Amino acid sequence: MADTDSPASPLLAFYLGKRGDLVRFFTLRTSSPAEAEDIVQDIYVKIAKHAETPDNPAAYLYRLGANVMIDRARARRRSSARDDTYSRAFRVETPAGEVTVDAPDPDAAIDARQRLARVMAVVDAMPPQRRRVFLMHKIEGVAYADIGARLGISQSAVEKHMIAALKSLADQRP
Amino acid sequence: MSRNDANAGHSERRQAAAAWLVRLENDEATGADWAAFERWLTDPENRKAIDEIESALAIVDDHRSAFAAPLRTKRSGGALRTGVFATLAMAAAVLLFVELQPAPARTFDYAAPSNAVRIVQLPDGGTLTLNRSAVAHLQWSSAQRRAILIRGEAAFRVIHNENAPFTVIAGPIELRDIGTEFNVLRTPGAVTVTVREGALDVSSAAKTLRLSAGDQATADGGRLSSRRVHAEDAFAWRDGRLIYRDAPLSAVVADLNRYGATPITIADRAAAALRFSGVLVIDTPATMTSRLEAFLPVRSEHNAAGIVIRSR
Repeated sequence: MADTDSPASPLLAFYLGKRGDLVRFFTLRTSSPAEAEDIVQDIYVKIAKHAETPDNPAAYLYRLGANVMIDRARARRRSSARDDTYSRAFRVETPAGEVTVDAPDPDAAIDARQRLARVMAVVDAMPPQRRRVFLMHKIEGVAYADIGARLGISQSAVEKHMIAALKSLADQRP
Repeated sequence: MSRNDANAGHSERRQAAAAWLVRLENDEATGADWAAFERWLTDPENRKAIDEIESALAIVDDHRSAFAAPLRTKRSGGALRTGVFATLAMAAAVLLFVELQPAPARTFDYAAPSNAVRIVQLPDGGTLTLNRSAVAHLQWSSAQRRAILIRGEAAFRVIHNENAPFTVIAGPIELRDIGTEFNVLRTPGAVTVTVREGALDVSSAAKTLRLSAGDQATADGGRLSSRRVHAEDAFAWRDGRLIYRDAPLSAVVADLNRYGATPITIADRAAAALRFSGVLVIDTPATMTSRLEAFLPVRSEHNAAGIVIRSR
């Protein structure tokens, strides 16, 4: 039982002190105390082996949590899309071959495609540089500073493009 | 507060929400920034603005490849995707990053398999649904949207755009939309257009008719005529059904022959003239003809050439 008395890493200690704040914050973000608990628990798992303390530990923990939140939401969407495919798939077996209607619930499927089409239309309509910045960041995962370096513009210009891009995405909602 | 004020307020919220999301991704962001963000989030309207952005970003995240391709399709099992499409999609992806000038019309070919419906999502939010075995060709640019129905049947839901008229060419006729939902059936002998919503112009070499919801036009040989119908019946194939109201058996059998590989013929005139009202589930020719036997005084015989229906 070595090390039982040794203090947690500074980041872990910081996390323990910040835990209540994090749960409160992610409860606000997800409207679910249970989901917030899971996110904050995942933050712990991610930092448990973290040896170094970042310059700005609070912001680091929040950002880590925000990423966890997005990953969990994405995983949920994928599993629900899979469930839909299985439960709603409409197959008619016939001796002549299987008749498959690929939109078992045509309205729901069309709704989803319309949402996608609307978002695509917004991205298509962005001015070229803004679209380039947006796609580099969101599709290629390039950091703001690196986008600025690649395109020969300042990081603050990159951020202005991103803000305008995100705003236009919100504006396409009715 | 007037409606305009409310809209302006909402726009500011969205601007602020976008600024928060970007700022907090910056390495310079501090714990104090997150605390300030939390305070900002206590307003439910602010949370809504953040959710709007994040749900749009989730769509981007879930369809990464789509954001490099001009057209997306939902494929049914075994549906064909042309190599041309894949090549164009790649070319378009490159274009997107290299130079963003107005693109020339892009062309796409779509074919539905013989046993399934295929839905094509158009980039403007409209949809093209191809019935079994239908083939369509699409030409798409910012200035024009054109579909050519090579064969078979297709239902269109067209988003009106006055800068880019949507036209459909089907054999001898051309359709021009005014924002609408319509079905086009092309058979070797005739083209039938049924409008469920909105309006469109249908033109033959000789004349143009304006159709609105509930109108059905038929171009048969050189003649173009229209009549009133239950328009939704013409779309029932999308749900795997065929709906008839007092239709001659000859017309029903003509439809069945579009769906099955086994030829069905009617042996006598009396049978051909029988009228049928009802719903047929799209199935094998044998199943569908036996269903007709249950409703009409006919019997069907199977022989080497196919199925023969005669009066009984």
